Formats: sequence, structure tokens, C-alpha cells
Amino acid sequence: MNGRLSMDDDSFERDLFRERAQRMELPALPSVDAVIARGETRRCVRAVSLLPGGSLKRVYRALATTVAPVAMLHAAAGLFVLVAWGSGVHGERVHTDAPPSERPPAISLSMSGEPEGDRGTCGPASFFGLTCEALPASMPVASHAAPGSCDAPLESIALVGSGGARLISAASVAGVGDAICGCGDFVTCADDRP
Amino acid sequence: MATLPDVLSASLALGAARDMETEDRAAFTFLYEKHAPRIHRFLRDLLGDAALATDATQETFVRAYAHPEIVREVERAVPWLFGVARNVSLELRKARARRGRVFTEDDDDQARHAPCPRAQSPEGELLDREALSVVDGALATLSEDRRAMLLMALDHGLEYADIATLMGFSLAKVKVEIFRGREILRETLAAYERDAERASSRGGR
Repeated sequence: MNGRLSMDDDSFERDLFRERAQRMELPALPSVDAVIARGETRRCVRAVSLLPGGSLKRVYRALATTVAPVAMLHAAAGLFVLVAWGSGVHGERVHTDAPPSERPPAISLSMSGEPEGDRGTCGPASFFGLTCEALPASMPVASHAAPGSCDAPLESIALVGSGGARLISAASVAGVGDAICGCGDFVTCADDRP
Repeated sequence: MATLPDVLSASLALGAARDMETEDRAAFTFLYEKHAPRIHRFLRDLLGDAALATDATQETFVRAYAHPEIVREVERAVPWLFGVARNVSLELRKARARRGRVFTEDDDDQARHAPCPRAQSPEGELLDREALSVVDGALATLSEDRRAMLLMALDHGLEYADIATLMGFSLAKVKVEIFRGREILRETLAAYERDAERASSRGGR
């Protein structure tokens, strides 16, 4: 270590860092499947964000082509999947206006308890009051019948859904938000993390 | 109405796209499995926080996923990943500063460095760990730019020219910054050695 430092010979430092790297513990990193799922989510969200607002049909198309595949990806990565419509006007329209044949494949949800949640006071408690129905049996779903009854580890939940600010802020407050997919003409998110 | 050649051609195009997608995923998986741990080490050294570095590593690779054209070429992808990782670390630092959190070095040095397999005694092992903590401490004193350049070159083996491109600096500046970083590192280690010698000579009396 003594002597004049050479500009060209940095072998001492390289050896030092090599040794340091060997002694460091390997980090527990997410699986590659989880990273790919998140990458796909972001790709989908970008695509959906570009969709112009408008007809319900367009909203359905976005849901069918983005939310469902993203939910499947997360399920394949072994995450719980909590699929949620947004609250408020958008959610009501999806639930009440659409005949069953027009509903997006694989996903159908309803709010349980707290009718206020549908009226725009959706907080973490009512958010976790969402129930999932008609998802494929093979998909691991975190289903929460009662408001505030979420007992799955938050970091294992992939949240996939549509809607606007309230859904996202609820997820943000609750510490969820591994994946949020917005769509339709009420989109307020530009990214998949609030 | 679509003709048979149209259908065949569309089907072939779909098949080719699927093959490409499979290849891209394989390339991405290879890149992640081979390089995620060192990207994590780089980010931990920049951010001083192992958990935050894990998030930043994931974010780096999520961004990489959007660029299959780069991921396919490993030689090009590796320096590029370091550039993305550095940008992510800068964004996280800014976000942390906005939230008013103070930058702290990991306080869990014992857990960060696994026991030295070659240590001859518990005292030797302790000294080795201490020396590695001294390296961490010296790195923390460097400016963010200088630290990033030093780590890219000496810990991760990136070419100086690649670092210059990633950082947007001239090659000469990169060389000087890394040289100064090395000087500080050596001075810190020399001071540590002197202190250790003094302590051992006092203990020997």
C-alpha cells in the first residue's frame, strides 16, 4: 500500500474489491418471474395510459387485454392476486351496466360491505373489503370478505385493477402497490407505483 | 376475406414473434441471474442501504425489461445496466431527500460481510471485517459521482471509456476522478493500518 500511487496499476484496489465482494452475503432478490411480471405490468400500463378515454366498450377492451393477462402473470409468479375495480362511477358502470357477455374474461368483482366505498370514500379498509369472484380456480387469490380483514402478507400481494385516484391512494396508504393497472377514461396513474 | 397465403403469413409472423419473445425472456433471465447480485452490490454501495438497494435492483431490471434490443447483447447490456442503476439510485436519493430522511450508512456491517473463510483466528477475522468496514467508510466519504466511477471501474471492471459515456464525462475526467478516489481509499486504509499497529504495540507492552 506504500509508495507512489500509479495511474496505470490499480491491481491493489481491484484485488481489494474482489475480496470484499467474495465476503459479502448474497442478497435475497426477487425471482426473475416476479421482475418480468412487474415489467409486463408497466408495459401494459403504458399502453393503457395511451388509450383515449371514451366508451365503455373501450374500457372493457383495455381490461380484457391488460388487466387479465397481468393478473395471470402475477399468479404464475406465485403472488396472491387481488383484483379490484376502481370505486366510484367507473366501478358502478362496470358492475351494473354490462351484460355478462360483455364482461372481461376471467375477472369479475364486486364490492362487499361498505356501500360508501362505491360512492367515493374508498379507504384502505373498504379497499380490503373487495371480494374476488369468478377468477380461475388455479389463480391464488387473496379474498377478503370483511372490510379490513386482509391477513395475507402485504408484500406478497399483487394488486391489479382499474380505476382512478382513490384505488391507488388506498393501495398506497395500505402499503400495497406491487402492480396497479389503470385503464379507461378515469385513469390518473401514469406508472404502476403510486 | 383473408386468403390462405394471408392467413399463413400472419400465422408465421405470429410464430416468429413468439420465438423472439421466448428468446428475449431467456436473455433477460440470463442477465438477471448473472448480474443482479453485482448490480445490488453497486446500488448498496451507492445508497448505503441494503433493503433500498433490493428495490432499486428490481427497478433497474424492470426498466431493462422494456429494452429487449439491449438485453439481447450482453456485452452492451452490462455497462448500460450500471448506467440505469445509477439513475435509479439518484432518483431514490432525491425522493428520500424530499421525504426528509437522512442518508445513513448500513449499521449492520457484521451481517453484510460474511465470515472470512481464510481467517486464522477470531481476532484475525475481526480485523478483516474491520478492514472491510474501513473500505465502506472510505467509499462513503467520496462524492456520489466519484464513488460511482470508482466502483464501476475497480469493483465491476467496466472500461473507462464506457464509464465516460455512461456518466457523460470526458475520459480524462473519469481517469482523474478514479485516481483521486484511489488516493483517498489508500490514505484511509493506511491510517487504519497505522492505528492498528499502534494499538497492537500498546497491547504488547
